[in-house]
Amino acid sequence: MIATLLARLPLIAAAMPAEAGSSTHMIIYYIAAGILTVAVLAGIAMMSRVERSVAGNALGAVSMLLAIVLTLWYFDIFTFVELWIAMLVGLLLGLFIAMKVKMIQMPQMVGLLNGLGGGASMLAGILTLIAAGPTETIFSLVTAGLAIFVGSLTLTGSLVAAGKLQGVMPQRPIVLKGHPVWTALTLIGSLITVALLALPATQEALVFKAVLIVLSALLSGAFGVIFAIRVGGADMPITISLLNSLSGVAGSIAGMAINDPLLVAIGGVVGASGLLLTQIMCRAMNRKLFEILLGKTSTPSKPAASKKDAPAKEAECAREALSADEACGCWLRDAERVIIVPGYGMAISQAQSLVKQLMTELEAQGKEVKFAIHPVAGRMPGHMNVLLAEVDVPYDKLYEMQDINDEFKDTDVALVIGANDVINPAANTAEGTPIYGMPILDVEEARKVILCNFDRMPGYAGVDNPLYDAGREDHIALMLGDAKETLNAIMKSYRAAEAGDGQAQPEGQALSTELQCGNWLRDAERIIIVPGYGMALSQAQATVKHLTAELEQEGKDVRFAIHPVAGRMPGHMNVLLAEVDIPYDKLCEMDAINPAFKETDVVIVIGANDVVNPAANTAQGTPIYGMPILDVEEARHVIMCNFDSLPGYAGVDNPLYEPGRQDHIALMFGDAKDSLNAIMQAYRVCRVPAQTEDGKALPEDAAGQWLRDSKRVIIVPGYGMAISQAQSLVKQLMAELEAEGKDVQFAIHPVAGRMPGHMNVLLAEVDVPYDKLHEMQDINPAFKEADVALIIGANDVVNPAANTAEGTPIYGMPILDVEEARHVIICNYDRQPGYAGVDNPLYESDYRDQIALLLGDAKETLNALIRAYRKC
Amino acid sequence: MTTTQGILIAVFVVATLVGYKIINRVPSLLHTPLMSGMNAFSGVTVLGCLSATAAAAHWGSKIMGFIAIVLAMINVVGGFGVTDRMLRMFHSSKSKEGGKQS
Repeated sequence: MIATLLARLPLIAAAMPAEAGSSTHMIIYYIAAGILTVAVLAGIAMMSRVERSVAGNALGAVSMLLAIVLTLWYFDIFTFVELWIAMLVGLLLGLFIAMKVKMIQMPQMVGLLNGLGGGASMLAGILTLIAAGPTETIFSLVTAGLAIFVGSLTLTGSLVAAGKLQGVMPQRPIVLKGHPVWTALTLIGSLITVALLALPATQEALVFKAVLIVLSALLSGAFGVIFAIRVGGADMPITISLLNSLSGVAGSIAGMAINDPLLVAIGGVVGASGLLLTQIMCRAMNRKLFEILLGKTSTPSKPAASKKDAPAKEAECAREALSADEACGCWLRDAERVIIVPGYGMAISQAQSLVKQLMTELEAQGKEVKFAIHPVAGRMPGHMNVLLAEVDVPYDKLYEMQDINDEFKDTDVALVIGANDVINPAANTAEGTPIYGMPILDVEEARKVILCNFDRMPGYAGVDNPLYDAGREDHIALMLGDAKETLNAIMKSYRAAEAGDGQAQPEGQALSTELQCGNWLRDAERIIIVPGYGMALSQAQATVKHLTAELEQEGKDVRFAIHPVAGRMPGHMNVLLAEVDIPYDKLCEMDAINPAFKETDVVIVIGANDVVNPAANTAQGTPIYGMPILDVEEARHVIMCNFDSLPGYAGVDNPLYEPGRQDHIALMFGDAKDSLNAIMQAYRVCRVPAQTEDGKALPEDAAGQWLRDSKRVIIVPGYGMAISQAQSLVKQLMAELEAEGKDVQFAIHPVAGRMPGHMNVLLAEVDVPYDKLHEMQDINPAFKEADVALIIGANDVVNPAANTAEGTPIYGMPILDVEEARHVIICNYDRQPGYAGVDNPLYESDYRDQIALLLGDAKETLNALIRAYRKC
Repeated sequence: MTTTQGILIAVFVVATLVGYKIINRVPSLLHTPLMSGMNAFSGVTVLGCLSATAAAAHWGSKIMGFIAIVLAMINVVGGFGVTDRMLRMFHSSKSKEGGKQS
């Protein structure tokens, strides 16, 4: 359809500098342009099936290449060197970015490219206007002006969005004073300049025109910035999609300005795509595009005061000598009034967001939290205020010294973070020291004091701080080290103390949460995993993959439920999971999987919050009301791995976090990776009935079990196999494993054995097909996918010391990364170092759980292994 | 409005509608690669930049054109490249062979 349309365009390009333009020339051009457009569309259509998507993308790329060649041919500008240089520069930069970008950075990448596309279109518009004479058509002038407008706002808006995603700008919405006014002013201003630029008279006044062009680009750019800065983190999917659309629209308009149908068509397709994604995102987030454009971002509401009225506060904590961080947790739990004193140490460690988080958690329990700001805390006036404002601590919580000093004595806990001199009581007593007489914050007056400081050294003034003296543990808890770490420790212990109140009470020896998760998983048959942005933040996808693999080994059915707006851009979770090789047919969309939840034994939610919040169905008036969610609650058991129990971005409390549902919902707070690892460990403990635990189990039994459970096995033969002439046993083991449908490969280190290709010959001798023998560089990446690596008489070539033990003969030698495999079985004659004389850490008894060491002649150990395998 | 302009607008409308229809069939599984692919296509502006830069009379315009071509080419190459990388990561559990997609 388009092809025919385009073919009928012989009239265009009157204004083009195509002196070569005979009419056949032109007809060929338009026909080719039409064909290329169709090819591009076909390429996109191929993306509707995963299997063909790579080819579709390639078709798009080829079409683009041909389009460039076509353009060069049509305008007869092959010989312009500067064009080639420019293209080469762009090509190299593009290649560099494409190869270097990490999957986790994909949202920023897309954002950045949106911006570059917009920028190029803006420049195209500017070039058109500059070249325009008085005879130019109004249509061209208007579209060129619009290209500047849309292109420039796309450029700046995208850069802001990318900056926010990359973390170089704060993620929270930034609202300027009089934001709507600025929006209106810049918008109207840029439209006026566009209109003025379209006047034929303007084309005569060159200076006026130049000023107008610059002005319109600047105003539009300002509009883009103002529009983008007030969009908060979780609304990013919508913004990114919209900017994606605009970058296409900008290209399309630029195409109209220069009469290029190819640009118009492809730009239009891009615009449509972005628009469609924007719609989908809006629907999924229950937002209206218009609201977002108007800046009504979902701002977190204040957490409801105290939902839990401090249940039974028998402070069992106080009885024994608690470690400092445990003490902190208990003190904070029992406190009602807390004052936080920030200092330069907080700034150095960049701990302000943790401080803010602690504040929120304390306030969620109905505690009163204030900040005491000493005038000289930090490195510049108001330093602390800025840092705290950056993380959204309301400024009415920040008190100056004279206003708050009287309050310390009524305070339960004073928490000092990296401040020293400004709280040093020596200022009152130590005459003759530089700080004598300096007004300080009287933290000592508080009932309890928690000091987070890097060390006990005196501060900048060089005067010892008596608060650090030993023997005051009942009053002062000293947390030494980096502020971030100590704060994390405090927060953990605080959560534990809070949880200790509410949860562990009901039954005497209620299982720990992890063990409970492990039991649920062991008994489960159908499992659904719900990933969210928390997984992306913690980069936990590899751990997720591991857990999935282990669960599937036991024959459990594991699937993933993907909410359309999980993450920061459309399809974010899919990319992350694909990155770790989770087959895409396990990724199910919301509508497809929602009915399956009630048939499901366990749901694991990893860092998702709003998208599983049942309040969306009930809590009228909240921003998420009416948003479609994943019905995780329907499953028999739910494991929630989330950083904390705070509401998600939408600011609506999640009823799943409420206490008293331990039988149904297990809450695992903290970093997603840590929680997942804990669950995995618990699962392994629950699964293996105590045998491997009590140390009596023989290594070959464990090894046999591993082989039984494995899917992918890699065998690493070495000289020991040759000495013992064990190759036929190896072959036999391989045959038995393969008979069970397991995948067996061989990893051949170039220097395994006594001559090049030694192992290959031995294995060929016993009829091992050569396509199973892999060279080091080919198979090394496969180890991390392997369930078992079986090493037979190889030592130096698998010795990880080669990577670490500087100065030894093998340091720097490339080795087979057997350690990456889930389990490692080592058949070796003894624990002695190999030929190179360097001890192999793999042989150390407690090096790793997942290693079984079978010592003795390779033939015998292999026989034992085969027997154990058959038994299992 | 001349025929040319009418036709250009028609091309825009038709391309948008056809594109919308086609893209609607892309599963949400592939939405991120779709976006980065669209990034590449939005670099189509390079066509306009090429002719405009060649025709540019002043050195100022030439420089701007040069920058525009660079930006657009980054989009084209970076967009296609990263899309390709991403798409190759998507595997089905059925295609077992070393997890490599054909």
